[in-house]
Amino acid sequence: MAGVLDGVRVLEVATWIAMPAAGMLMADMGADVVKVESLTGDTWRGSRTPRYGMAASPLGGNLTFEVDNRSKRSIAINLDHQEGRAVVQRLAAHADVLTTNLVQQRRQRYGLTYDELAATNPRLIYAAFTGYGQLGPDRDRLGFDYTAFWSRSGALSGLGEPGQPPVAPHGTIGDHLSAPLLLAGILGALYEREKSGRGQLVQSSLLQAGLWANVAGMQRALVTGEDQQPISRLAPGNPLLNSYCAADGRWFFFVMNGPADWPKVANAAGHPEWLDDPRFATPDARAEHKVDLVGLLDVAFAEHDRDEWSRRFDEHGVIWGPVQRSSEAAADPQVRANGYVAAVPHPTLGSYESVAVPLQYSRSDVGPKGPAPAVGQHTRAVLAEAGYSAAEVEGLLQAGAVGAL
Amino acid sequence: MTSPLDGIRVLEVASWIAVPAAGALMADLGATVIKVESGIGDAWRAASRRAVSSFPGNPGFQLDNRGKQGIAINLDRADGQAVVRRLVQSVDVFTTNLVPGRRLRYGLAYEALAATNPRLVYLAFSGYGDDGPDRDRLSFDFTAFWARSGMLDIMAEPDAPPPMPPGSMGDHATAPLLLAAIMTALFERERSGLGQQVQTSLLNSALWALGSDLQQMLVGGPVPKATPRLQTNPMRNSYRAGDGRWFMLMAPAERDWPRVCAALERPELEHDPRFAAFADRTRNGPQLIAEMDATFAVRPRREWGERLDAQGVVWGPVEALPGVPDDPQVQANGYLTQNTHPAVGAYLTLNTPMRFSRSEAGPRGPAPEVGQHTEEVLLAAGYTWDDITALRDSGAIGV
Repeated sequence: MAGVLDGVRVLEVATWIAMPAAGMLMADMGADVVKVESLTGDTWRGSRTPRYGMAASPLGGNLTFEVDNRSKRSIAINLDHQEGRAVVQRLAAHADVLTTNLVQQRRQRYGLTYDELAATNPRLIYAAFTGYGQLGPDRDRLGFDYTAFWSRSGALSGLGEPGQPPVAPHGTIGDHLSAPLLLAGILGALYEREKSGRGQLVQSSLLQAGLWANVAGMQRALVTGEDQQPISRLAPGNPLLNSYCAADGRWFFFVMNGPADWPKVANAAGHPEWLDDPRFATPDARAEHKVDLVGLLDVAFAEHDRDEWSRRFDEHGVIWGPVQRSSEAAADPQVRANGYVAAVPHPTLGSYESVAVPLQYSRSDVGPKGPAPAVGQHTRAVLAEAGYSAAEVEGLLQAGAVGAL
Repeated sequence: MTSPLDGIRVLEVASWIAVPAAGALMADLGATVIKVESGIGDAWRAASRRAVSSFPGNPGFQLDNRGKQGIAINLDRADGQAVVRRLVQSVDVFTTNLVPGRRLRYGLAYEALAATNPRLVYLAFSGYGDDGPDRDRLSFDFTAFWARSGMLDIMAEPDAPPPMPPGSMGDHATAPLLLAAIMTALFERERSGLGQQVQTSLLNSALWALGSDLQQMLVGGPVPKATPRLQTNPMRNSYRAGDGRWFMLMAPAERDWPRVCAALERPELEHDPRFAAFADRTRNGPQLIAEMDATFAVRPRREWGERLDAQGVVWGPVEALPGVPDDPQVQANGYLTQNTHPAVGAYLTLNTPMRFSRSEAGPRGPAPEVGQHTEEVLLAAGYTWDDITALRDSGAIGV
């Protein structure tokens, strides 16, 4: 099968996570993605997260770097060197897409702004992604998903229990949620180019992606000015949309929004007599007596293990889901049946398991093409394809403008 | 300006949030999006949200359906299903969140529709994927995206209940993935001339978001779990300033350590043997967090922001939503925009979360009323007034 992006050439001048993750999605879809790295490599390669037990991993290094950079080639270029910048400009002249998370100021310093590159390649799609957007007082502020996607956007303000410190949103989730948005933006421009013959600049930011993810809370704040408050599970707006704990200590969520859902929950919980209790007769009544109802449900659900509740919920048509550990999710037969985990070929290990591109096509191939490259592993090959002679390449290497493995 | 999806026609047989939100994004990008609803309408229209006196109905529904046309069709009737199949012949994209069993029951599975329109791009979305034991299980983002995927578990403090996710965040975070799925298939169609089915799910979207954690576990690393605030990496943690306002500190690189000490005005910490090297700071994290908590508590957040900025340390305020519309950064980048509503008039809403230099993107109008465009859409598809009257009388469509 062919890939949806076969033949598309991508030059990635980006570090850390969100933009490289979008590059990986394109690479898995068949695009030729060349990752431009400094001579010492993307900082994310060596980011020290000992919690992850990197040293103990059979792959060594930073496993997250592996996910976000598999299926790519690497060229090592010194952007602080005039000749290095010239190499990027020359490569951009032949690319379909250039992606970058450099802030505007650095793009200007390196001569890699959209206007400069589009002057020689008007068909270029230039995807610019930063922490806080291309305009405004913080356009050159550095951001991570914790600071821009979760915190600044207000997205974190709705998560957790009232009065408690903010929930730690866990690393890279905000970045990985931004990556499909970048992919969509790039594809929107590629598709448009089929008709117009012209490329363009497409921009977004972690802040904007966070605003979009929390769009329901935002829309409410925009039309009411109301604060979004974290909701306590002991007093939720709707006790039928809440988390509960089974006797074995395993949690689950159920979401029962509909007017006819109360009998399903009461019967599944084994308490049909609740249906005669006027405190719980209507959604408004249940909202008013939410503390009482959560208390009753907490006691009821503590009577059986989650597996038993699972059986009863399904029997009564309750829409529910287990709060799974990551290990449970990875072993989940549903995850396996849908191919949400994929094997990545690896030169020494043979293969290892990774998270698949979160899409399946009926007619097009999508999947890992190989491991993340070493820094500068493909410098010579990429330069040769771009028309550099062997002597030119040696000159660049000796000048320190590029590096090769 | 023209828009990237000008001329693209989309038929949406979907309810609630994720797929309709992707439809709203396509409408923002210029596509004609026809929303198929039952006679009583998408359940999301009337979902039990707290009433907003200044805004009739559900503001979230407006957002997820802005700029679309509405057609009311009864899918439980064979003649209603036939109307959908006829409309499919003149569209580029079909989107659905019907579970596979219902697609089959209604005669709207990919194979059936592609037989008459081989150029059709068909987005099949469900809670748990189109294969496996739970392919027909109904879901919401709370159950499939947050709970089942493992995401809530790693956000919960040990032995504490899972945090309550903000409503619809999992759905809206998934919508750009759906847009990307459709766009890649449309792009490929330019070369092959053929449409195809593209499938994903709430569960799949969440697993992707968790890629970093899942990856280390998949190759034999430890199972990721939430770390209590007092035991986490002190350089990547939340702190509370003297005015009670929280902020996130993200200073993960080695070079950040002296900068943080300088911003804290605690130079003695830098060479304190308990914290000197990365491994020391990890091992003695609780002690360091206690030191930092004590120092951050003496100044308001604004002053810490200035000090952290002066040192080049990455940080971000934990903002409450009402402050976000006034954020100069949000305003400067046009992240908010106006849309119109038949009763309210102009109101502020989220803009399309991407901007093109040469193509227009943004809200095109309000969400339709149930069946507002039924007659218009059917006439354009070649139905006569007599056909429409007969379908209406039989209960197959609503007008």
